[in-house]
Amino acid sequence: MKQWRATAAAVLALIASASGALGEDKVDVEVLHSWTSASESAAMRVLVDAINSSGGKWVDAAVSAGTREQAATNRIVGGNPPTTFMTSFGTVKSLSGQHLLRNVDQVAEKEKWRDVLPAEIVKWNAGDGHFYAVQTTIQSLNMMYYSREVLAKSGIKEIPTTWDGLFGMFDKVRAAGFIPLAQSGTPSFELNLFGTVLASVDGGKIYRQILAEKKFDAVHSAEFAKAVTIFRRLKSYTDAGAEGRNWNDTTALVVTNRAAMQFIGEYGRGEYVAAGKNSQTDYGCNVGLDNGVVVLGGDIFAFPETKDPKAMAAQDLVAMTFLSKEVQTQFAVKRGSMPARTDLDPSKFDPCVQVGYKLAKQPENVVLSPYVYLDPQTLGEIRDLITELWSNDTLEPQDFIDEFAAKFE
Amino acid sequence: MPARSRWFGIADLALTPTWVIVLIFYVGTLAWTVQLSLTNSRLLPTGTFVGLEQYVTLFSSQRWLVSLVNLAIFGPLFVGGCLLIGFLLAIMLDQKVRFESGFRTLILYPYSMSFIVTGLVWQWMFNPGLGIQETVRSLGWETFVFDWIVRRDMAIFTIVIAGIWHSSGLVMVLMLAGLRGVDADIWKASRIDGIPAWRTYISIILPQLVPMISTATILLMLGVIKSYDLVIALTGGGPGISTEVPAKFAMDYFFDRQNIGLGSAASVVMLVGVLAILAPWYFARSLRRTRN
Repeated sequence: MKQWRATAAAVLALIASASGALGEDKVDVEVLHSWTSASESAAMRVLVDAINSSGGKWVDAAVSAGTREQAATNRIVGGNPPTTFMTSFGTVKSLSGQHLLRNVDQVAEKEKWRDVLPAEIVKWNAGDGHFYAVQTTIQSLNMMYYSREVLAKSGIKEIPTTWDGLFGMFDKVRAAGFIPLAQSGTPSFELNLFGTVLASVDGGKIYRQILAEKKFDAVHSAEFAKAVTIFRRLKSYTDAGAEGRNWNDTTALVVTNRAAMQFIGEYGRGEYVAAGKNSQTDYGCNVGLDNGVVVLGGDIFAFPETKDPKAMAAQDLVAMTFLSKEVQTQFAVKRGSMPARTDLDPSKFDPCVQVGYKLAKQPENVVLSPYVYLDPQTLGEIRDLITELWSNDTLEPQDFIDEFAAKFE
Repeated sequence: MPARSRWFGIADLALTPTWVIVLIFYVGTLAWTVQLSLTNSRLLPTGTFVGLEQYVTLFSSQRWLVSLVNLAIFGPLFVGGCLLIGFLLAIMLDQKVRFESGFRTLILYPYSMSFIVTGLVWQWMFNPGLGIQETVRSLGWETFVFDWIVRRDMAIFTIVIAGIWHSSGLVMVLMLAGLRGVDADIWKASRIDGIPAWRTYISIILPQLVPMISTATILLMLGVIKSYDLVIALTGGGPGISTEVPAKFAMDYFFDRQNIGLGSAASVVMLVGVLAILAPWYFARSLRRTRN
């Protein structure tokens, strides 16, 4: 019965869209994306409405995050590309190298992307001088969210700004009967925590040297060793159930005042918002340990190569719309994370978003996610190493450092 | 004879589409995978031939070696455990117990669930903060420890346990069907001779169940090679990389890490592994047939 209804609905939708296409001359804009969670699709409405009201017709192609690159690549190679697809810088690099992507430099020029996007993003998005993708969202990946109630009950007035200070605080939290650090024991979140620590040890310098500038000798530096030690020590402040727990269950520990804090990307705030918590009275936030360096990630949409003028018009429409001032402001408010443009009025954003937004404007305080700097293969192997460092207490830090360095040779 | 060959021709014709499908989709893709494993293909297939380089990379990867060791632990324990428990369950139900059909359904039920569901359920059961450990502790045994899933050296055995729970019912049903096929006169004869029941089961009944056992073994072994979803749902390969398996390695390199060459090499090695197990078995079977 259900299936029948679904089929009927699909057929009706098809007829409706066909007659609609006959009636007016709108450009089909097919967007392949993996925004499938509730908060993501709510924010995506902003993009859909913007496209539909400016002469386009949004055609939705949602896929799961894990198969996104493969789905897009298959369609491009098969000669039936979508107008645009959500992807990563690594994929853009390998596809543009094989001339499978079209650049939208004209739009970028007109809309002054080089001036309005954070400098580090421009450097990587337009590494060889061309924009093959439009930066649509930006997120701080090294947020610290803490429970005000747990800290108060543990007798803590202020979050320390050094790691040693933080460990001292964790001891007090534990003595008061709470979990000091909520952590999701899965490889991608262990990697995220490692990045957070690495970006904090010397104001982002060592992070930038190793991951962005590929100066791999820096792996043998004292700063890197310090990050390894801190990362290891953080594990001793997590609970036994951390292994394999997914991120939202982990965030729930802080939301329900069972754990003191969690380091996670800005999307984690969605859980607090959904639980009706207030960032001034219930929970608090820092960017990283001490509001020093922000690790940025985000979503980009790339454009497959095409010679069809209609498809090109559709692509330009996407490039223009996704990064326009109005869309960016609305999208950021709906989603509760930073906008991609640096020239917006931040007063409408939550205080927790404003901290990161301020940092994102200053190039010396910005590093990007490892997902931007590294190709998928190297990234995956580094993730394997870091999850081993996290879970294997008998692994010597020096062995880890040697293996880490070897991944780049 | 001429009549037979005419029929043969028509049958051949009818089977042609099947043969075409087999050649293109099974043999063809197989050959393509082997070919890809000899190239440096990353996100997209390329034709650049690099010889056995991918295989060298594969066998110098710590994670691949861990995966192979895990398969060697998981495989025999899972297959052996399922066979043993399934056989014992079948004997139990063969004792003309009451509510037999009820028990049968109950025991077979886990098999109707996907490995993903099985994995998620057992993940909660094994979780030290939620599952068995916590339950026993709340009953008063405060020092009880059952934290295998967070221990690197024991986590692989949690996968074995969940796997056995899932698949034993299938073995039981197959064995039970076999037991029901055993001639009742054999039982009468053995009783007259005063042979104890356990001895009858092991020395007389079990040899008659060999076809059932080999069917069950093949089915279970296929499950071992493609073990992917159970690991994903139960441990995700963790803690660290301690419960990684070859199928997960191949999937990760094909999709997440965009390295088609290395993923293909892993797949080919898995295929060779299957052949290495199946070939002696087929050989032994055909040998037996010629002898008979």
